[in-house]
Amino acid sequence: MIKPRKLEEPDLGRFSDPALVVLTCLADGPKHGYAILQESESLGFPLSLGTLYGALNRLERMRLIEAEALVDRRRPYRLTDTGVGHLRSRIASLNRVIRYGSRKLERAR
Amino acid sequence: MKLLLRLYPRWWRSRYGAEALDILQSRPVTPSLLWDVIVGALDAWLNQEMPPSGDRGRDERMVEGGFLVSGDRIRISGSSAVGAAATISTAFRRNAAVMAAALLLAIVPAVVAAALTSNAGLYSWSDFAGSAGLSQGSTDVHFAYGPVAPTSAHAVSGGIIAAAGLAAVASALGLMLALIVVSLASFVLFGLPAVLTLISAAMAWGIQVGFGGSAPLQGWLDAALGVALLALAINTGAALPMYWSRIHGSGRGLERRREAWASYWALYRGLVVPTCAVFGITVFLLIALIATS
Repeated sequence: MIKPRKLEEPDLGRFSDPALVVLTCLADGPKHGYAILQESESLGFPLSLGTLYGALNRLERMRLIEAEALVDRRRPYRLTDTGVGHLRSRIASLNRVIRYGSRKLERAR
Repeated sequence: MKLLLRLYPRWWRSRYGAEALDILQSRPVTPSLLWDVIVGALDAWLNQEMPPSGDRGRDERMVEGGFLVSGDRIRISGSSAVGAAATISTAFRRNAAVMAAALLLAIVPAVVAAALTSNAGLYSWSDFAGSAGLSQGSTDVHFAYGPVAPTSAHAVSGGIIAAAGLAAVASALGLMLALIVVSLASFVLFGLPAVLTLISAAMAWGIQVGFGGSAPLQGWLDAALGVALLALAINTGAALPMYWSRIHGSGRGLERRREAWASYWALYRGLVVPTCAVFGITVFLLIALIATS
């Protein structure tokens, strides 16, 4: 049985999926917007410019990521501890959905 | 590309502009990119703000529709230090772009309709219906207004003033109520009825103005209808973020909607109601002039 999502989790609304992509891109270290955009493309979930900065703005306001000092006109972002926790929680939820869905598909065959 | 980024708020450009410009310049300009930039700009105006850790200075501290904002949001009751004027002023500044968009939505159709009507040599709605194939139209030679035998002006009686005053109050209140009804009804349908009403009303007003202003009271009639159109445009502009919050207000949706509603009411009280009052005054003058001519 899938447990319901915890109520205290940040609600990113329609930016939930782009935010997950951004958080995933930042999981291995700080990156600026341009690098996130490129990594999202190689990941197979390309973010558009408006979506990227909309997600970055929301994530930063929710303190899931934080900005570092400008480097060559580009501002790197890194995950906060809350952001790491949120990403772990989202990945765990998705894993549960995947396992649950896979089991159901197996049973259906 | 720099021009495109001008669509975004100043704080957004100072925060993300340089990097966004690099990204834009590295990509081919396509319709989907342009659309993305425009939608992103709307989102930035309506749903984003400088992050708490951002470079917002003390002078950028803002009061938004009853909320004092400086980094973290601090709520202040409506009757506290945040005055009504400050609330309206902030709501106006915050919604300046959408208000300007709504005014454009009114001005462009009105100007086009007025120019077309004037160039087509139409002088009345029956001419207009005839040219649109809705009726035979009149084959008579038209004058801007028919010659009228000189008559002596009636004295302005107390009854006329009372009737005109009553009509003015009723029309101003009626317009206020109608605008609220349009806004509330449009909220359900994502603002579409309000926008269509505004465009239709602007076209109708443009056609009316295009008939020419040489008839004795046509100028006053055009002015009264113009003020009503202005009220409709301001009301629509004030309500656009509300509609947008319905389409786009997920995430902190409830808070976003509450802010949009608070902003709408502030602008309604501060701008729409006074414009409706001006409409009432023009109606009063129009009726008084009709009664005395």
